[in-house]
Amino acid sequence: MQSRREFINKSLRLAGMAVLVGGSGYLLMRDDNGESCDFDFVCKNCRKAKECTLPEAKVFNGNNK
Amino acid sequence: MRYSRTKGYIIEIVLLFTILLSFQTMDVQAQRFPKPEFESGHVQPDTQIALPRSDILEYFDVFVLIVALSVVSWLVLKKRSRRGVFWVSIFSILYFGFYREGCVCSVGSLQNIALALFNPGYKIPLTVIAFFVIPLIFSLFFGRVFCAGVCPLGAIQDIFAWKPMQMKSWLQKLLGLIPYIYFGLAILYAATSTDFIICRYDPFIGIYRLDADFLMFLLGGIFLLTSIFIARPYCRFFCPYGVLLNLFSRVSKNHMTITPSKCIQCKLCENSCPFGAIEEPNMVKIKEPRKNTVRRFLVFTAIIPALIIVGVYVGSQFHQNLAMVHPKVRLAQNIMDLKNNPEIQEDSEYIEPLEIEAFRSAGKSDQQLFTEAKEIIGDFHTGGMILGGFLGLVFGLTLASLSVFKYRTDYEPNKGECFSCARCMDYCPIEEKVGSSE
Repeated sequence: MQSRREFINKSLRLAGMAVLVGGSGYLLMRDDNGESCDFDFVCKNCRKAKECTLPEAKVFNGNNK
Repeated sequence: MRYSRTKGYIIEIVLLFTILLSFQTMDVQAQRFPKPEFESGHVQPDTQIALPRSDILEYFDVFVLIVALSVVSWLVLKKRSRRGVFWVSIFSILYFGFYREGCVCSVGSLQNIALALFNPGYKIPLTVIAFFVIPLIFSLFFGRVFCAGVCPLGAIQDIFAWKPMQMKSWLQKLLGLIPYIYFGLAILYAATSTDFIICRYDPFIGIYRLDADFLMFLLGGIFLLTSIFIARPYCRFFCPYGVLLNLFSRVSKNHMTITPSKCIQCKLCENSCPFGAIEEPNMVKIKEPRKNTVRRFLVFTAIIPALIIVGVYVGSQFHQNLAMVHPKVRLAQNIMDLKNNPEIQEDSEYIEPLEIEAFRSAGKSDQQLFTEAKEIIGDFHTGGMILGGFLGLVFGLTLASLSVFKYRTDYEPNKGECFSCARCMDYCPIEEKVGSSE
């Protein structure tokens, strides 16, 4: 017979799985209309942008120092 | 005997490098089109950065992650081999660390998830979701096998743990609260599209990419030197992803055990864990009446709402300070300062900051910027309250957990804090007996 502790652990495990699978599904399946590029900090952290020698990149890096 | 073992190590290392070099060739092949030749005679400069990875290689990374996690789970739970875990750590340092330059890592993917959840405009790649979710699923079933030898940040610290010291448990518990603060801040800054602070202040990423500035190299060096005496300081006292792995691992189905069968209380493993994650037997002759322990637990639990309220209040008070990290808020503040103190601009030595110059050239009005900054500060007000409430809850639960007394008859790993590194297994004589009888 399952002990109380085992039952709680099993329930929490199932809940954890449900959150992970459900959350991943939601992020993948949701409508992505209105996609924007307002997350320049993501680019700012990018090594490619930091080391790019093109003039546009130099301006970008200069503005984001 | 020793010679053949050394020879084995050399063959293993050569094999690893051969595999990594073959990946490099695949990367070059991913560049489908040849470089253009210019009539003017312009010669393209050499590429100074890693080439962008093709989709297939990104999926291959996910495949490698799954294989590495499966191998570590097998090594820890079935094979019970510390040596095997060590070699997977070396592989992770080479592949996920130096070759993949530590990106995307599961630790940082936490921020991508937060950004995607709070900003529908951000389209999160499937591979980033996979890097976030897969180690957590493994921890639900097998404990923190990701920390054992797959995480490149943990692996590099682990190989430096030469002379680990045992820390006082109260100090370990107190420092163990820092990851929750870091976790909360990382979520707040990612959700408000401010910054990815885990990546920005990752002490090892600069070492893996060999491009860190002096301060980050220094920080990485300090962490590695500290690792010699205090094993895995980043994992234990900073890692925000560890917060989730800790929670998931607590309910893991097949967590590693120190002994393969019944513990004989020989105490050999007592001080074997460099992370202080082994819990000693807790046996008392007369058990405290259950009624008393429940009452004590309820008293401690009653404090939790009060701590949450205090946290919400403190969080709301600090929202402006938290918001100053956001570049738009900082820019608005700088422009506001210039407006309030026009004499600064009249100074002959005054040079307009580049960010203000860039803002002016974009043609946006100051008013627009102030409105946007105000909205962001409003988001931080809400976020600061949630962060404060969350931290109040964490402190409250930690306090409440102090009143919980667990009766244990054997030496057991703490399922939340154990990194499944398999060091303690080598100390268990029962395993040796089983091995020798075979």
